[in-house]
Amino acid sequence: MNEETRRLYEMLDQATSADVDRTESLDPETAVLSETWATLSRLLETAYPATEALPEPLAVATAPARRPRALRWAVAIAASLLIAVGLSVAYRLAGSPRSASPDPQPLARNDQQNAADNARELSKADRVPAEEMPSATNAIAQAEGAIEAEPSFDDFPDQWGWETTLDDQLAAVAQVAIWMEREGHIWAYRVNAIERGMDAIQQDIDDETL
Amino acid sequence: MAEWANEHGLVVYRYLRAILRNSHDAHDLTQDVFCRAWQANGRYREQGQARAYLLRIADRLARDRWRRPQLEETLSDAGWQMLGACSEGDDPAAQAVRAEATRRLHAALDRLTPLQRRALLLRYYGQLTFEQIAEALGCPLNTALSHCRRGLEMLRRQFAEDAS
Repeated sequence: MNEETRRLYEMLDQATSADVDRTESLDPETAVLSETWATLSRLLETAYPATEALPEPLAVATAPARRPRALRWAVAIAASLLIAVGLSVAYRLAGSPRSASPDPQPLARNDQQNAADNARELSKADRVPAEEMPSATNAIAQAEGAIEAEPSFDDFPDQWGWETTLDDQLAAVAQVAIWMEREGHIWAYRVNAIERGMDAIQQDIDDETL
Repeated sequence: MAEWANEHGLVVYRYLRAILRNSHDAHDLTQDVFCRAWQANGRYREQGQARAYLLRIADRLARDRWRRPQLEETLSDAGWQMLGACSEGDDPAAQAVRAEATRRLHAALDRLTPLQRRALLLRYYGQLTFEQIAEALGCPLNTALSHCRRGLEMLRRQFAEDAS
């Protein structure tokens, strides 16, 4: 701020201060400006008096304080993760043929059964001597035998007829639904058997027994 | 925000009232000022200068109101006062004094440029420093000082003409 600006600043600051009654202590130029300022103040107070309050109280809504931006990011990331996990679980359940079962117990039972089957297969493979290691054909035949042991659609009696009561029809539909559920499991088991066969072939190639 | 409204609401309203010369518009814009201030609450960094901050918003809104084309004709406060004088309100003498003061004030303020008018009214109602006035007007400090000085000189000439 140069000297001229500083002088003008001080002059205007004195002339337009709230205390306008001390004009006798001001220099003539500042005093003239101060008198003008006092006249303007009187006109403003007369035309728009301070007693003229707001027509009605200001309606200020008290809103909750905004969350910090970092917290909002954390909440957004957590929500995204939750949605992703939910979608993943929903996709797995919808993609599996066992999802048709309203009872979650069979799912656990099937998984346990798969695990037990796998363990049984592995222990059986461990017990087989090296010279009797199953070839690919044997492994697939073994898996096919296991599949044959599973119930098929033909195992269910044909109770579906015009004379069948509604209860019996419902029971038949339920049996077919159960079979469909097991069919899905069989398909999954069949894929597992093929995988195990491929593993056995790979093992044979590695051991140079094939 | 409620504290701001209680502390500075009347100052903002009176500044807008003097700038717009219409109490209804001033009231509407006063509401808008506090709405804008609440929306921009997270960006308020000028601690301790709430009044200057609110008046800056008010000044910007008033300027936007001037620029917007008037879609409807509104009765001025002088018109409302003329209607009210016949029915209710203060005594006729006080109303006459007020009407004369309003006429003189408007005549004086009309001789100022918008920047001079805004600078002087911000100083009067907000008690803003000249640095704050310069920031509100968007000009350098010495320019804001010039607006204030020339505005006061113009008012002095107008008041002298009135007196003669």
